Amino acid sequence: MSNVIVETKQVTRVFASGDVEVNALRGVDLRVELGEFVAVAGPSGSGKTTLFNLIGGLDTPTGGEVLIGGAALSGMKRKELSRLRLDKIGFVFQAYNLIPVLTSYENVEYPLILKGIGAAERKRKVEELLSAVGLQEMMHRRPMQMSGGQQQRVAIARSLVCDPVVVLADEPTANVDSETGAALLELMRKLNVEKQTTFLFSTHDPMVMKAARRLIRLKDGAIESDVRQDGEIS
Amino acid sequence: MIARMAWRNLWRNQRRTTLTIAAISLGLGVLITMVSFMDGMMEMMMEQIARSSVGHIQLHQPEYLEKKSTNLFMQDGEKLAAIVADVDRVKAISSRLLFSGSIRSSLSSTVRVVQVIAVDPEREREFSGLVDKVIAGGFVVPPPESLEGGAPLRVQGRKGILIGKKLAEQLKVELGSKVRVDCAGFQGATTAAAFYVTGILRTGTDAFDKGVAMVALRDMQEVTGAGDVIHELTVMADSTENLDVLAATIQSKLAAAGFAEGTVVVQPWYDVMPEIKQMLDMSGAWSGVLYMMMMIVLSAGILTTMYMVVLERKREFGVQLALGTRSSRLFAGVMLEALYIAGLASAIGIAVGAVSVAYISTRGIDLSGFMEGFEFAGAFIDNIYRGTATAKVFVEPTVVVFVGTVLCALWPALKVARMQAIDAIKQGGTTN
Repeated sequence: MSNVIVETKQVTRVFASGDVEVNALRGVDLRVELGEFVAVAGPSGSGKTTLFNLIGGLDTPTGGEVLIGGAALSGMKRKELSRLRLDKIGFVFQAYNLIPVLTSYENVEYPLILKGIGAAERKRKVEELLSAVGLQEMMHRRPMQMSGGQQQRVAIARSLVCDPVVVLADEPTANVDSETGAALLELMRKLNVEKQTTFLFSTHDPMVMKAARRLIRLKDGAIESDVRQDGEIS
Repeated sequence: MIARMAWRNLWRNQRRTTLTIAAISLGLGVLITMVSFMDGMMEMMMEQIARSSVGHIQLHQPEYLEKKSTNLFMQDGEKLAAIVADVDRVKAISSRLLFSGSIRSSLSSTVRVVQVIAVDPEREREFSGLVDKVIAGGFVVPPPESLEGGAPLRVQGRKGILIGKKLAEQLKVELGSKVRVDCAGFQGATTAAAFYVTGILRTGTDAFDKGVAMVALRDMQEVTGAGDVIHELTVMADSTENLDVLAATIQSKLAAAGFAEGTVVVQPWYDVMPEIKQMLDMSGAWSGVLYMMMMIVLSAGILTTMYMVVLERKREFGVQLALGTRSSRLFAGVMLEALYIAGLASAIGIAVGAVSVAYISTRGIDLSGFMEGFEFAGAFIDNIYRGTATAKVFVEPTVVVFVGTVLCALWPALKVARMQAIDAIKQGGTTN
């Protein structure tokens, strides 16, 4: 059985702005396997976010194909894409993007409610994950009552709660100080090892690049390099 | 969770939500008050019109209303009255003879043109609200107690007349004074007779207070020598419902009692005076315009609020879509917020309206400082207006405002439902 979780085949994405066409991605081939801890790095405009949006089913490629867990996203209806994101993909955003009217407990619980999981199971999973990210004492706090690092921990717990095959983390350390960033990376690495969750980071933070076990560099919409490394968190 | 989120979202901007709810509540309260006032005014006008010359149903010689000729009368007035009074749903009746004439007194050189209305005092007393407007003496035929109140004993056993205060002042007469009435009688004859002032009334309208004189039917029948005839028989029904059915019933009873076809026509008031019916219908149409205007004003506020919600939370909606939230769930969330606003505003609006309606329905609004009462369709319309406190007064405006509020949220909610996650995340502002 294939261990490939994310696969892109000759993916291109062209944005049209008036008469001007911008090739954001130029035939990207990528295979990410179960349990990988991958950073996709590159300068602004290199195509990182576009690639993540396509993998997350938030955008449609101009050409090529994106497969998640072997299922092709092309041709999926809006409702099916919603379900796929809910079941197979976890998102961690740069700006945390927690739902401000919900407590940290409720934010983590939210995807489980969307999935229709029963109350007892929800409670068990949410408490387990909040404990894993070290926020069991802050279950009933709302995002505004928490620091940036704490909010990002809640976002990580939320991204993992539905046991996704891959977590797409878009510059997760961009809005926190380096110490907090290191702690967050440590946490994700731990969850990666313990739960075999695949992490795919978009970043230009050297610390994240160093921590990744595989570093893919994008330049002008194409993969410039793809190297495997030890992955150290400093 | 969707309900919890909608409720909490509602209070993220407390000031805006409070102001929106306050505006809708106030609008609803005002709408309830205005509907109560207008319904009350219409009810009062209908009641006062019914209790004056019009009644709910009228009987005439078929050509009388068109030609208004003294000679177009109905025969066997007493028999007619007895048959009609016996019909189910008939509460009161009044038999009348109507003449155009003039009135003068020896105390003044003034001659005044008046409408002479000859009534059966006992029946008219039950029927007409005019009895309450008598300020001196009695109602056409003075009761003994009013004689003790100052009317000279000489009026006893004489022909009495009830006139308005202003007419009395113009003629310089008082209770017990003698006046002479000239009017066009039957078959071209002129009738002249002396009457004694047995009552003075004040309605507040010149048409009544200067232009009407009421005498006893029996006296007028005797003076004119016409015998048992009447021009008009008015009927007060137990309610304004199904008057056409009641009119048809009366018509058939008369036919069964031997009144030949073409001698008497029985008509509901709205056939006798279609202009009043039109006016009341127009008032109903104005209520509709009122609803619409209020809704336009309110919907501008609601739309602004809900649209701001969409703009402010665009990124948040995008993130929820990215997490796997279905569009229908986001739509439901926005609609729930609108429902909460509508529910809260309706509850407060009803409370505001209830206080206001309680006041105007019990104490009324006294417009005597601004205007006098007026005569309309032969009725004296008071200048104290009272609202009505029926369920309809509360239900209709509340339903209109509630449904309107929810409908106003449809467009913003659909906008949210059609959002693309990626566009919303890119274009939206901060969620915190």
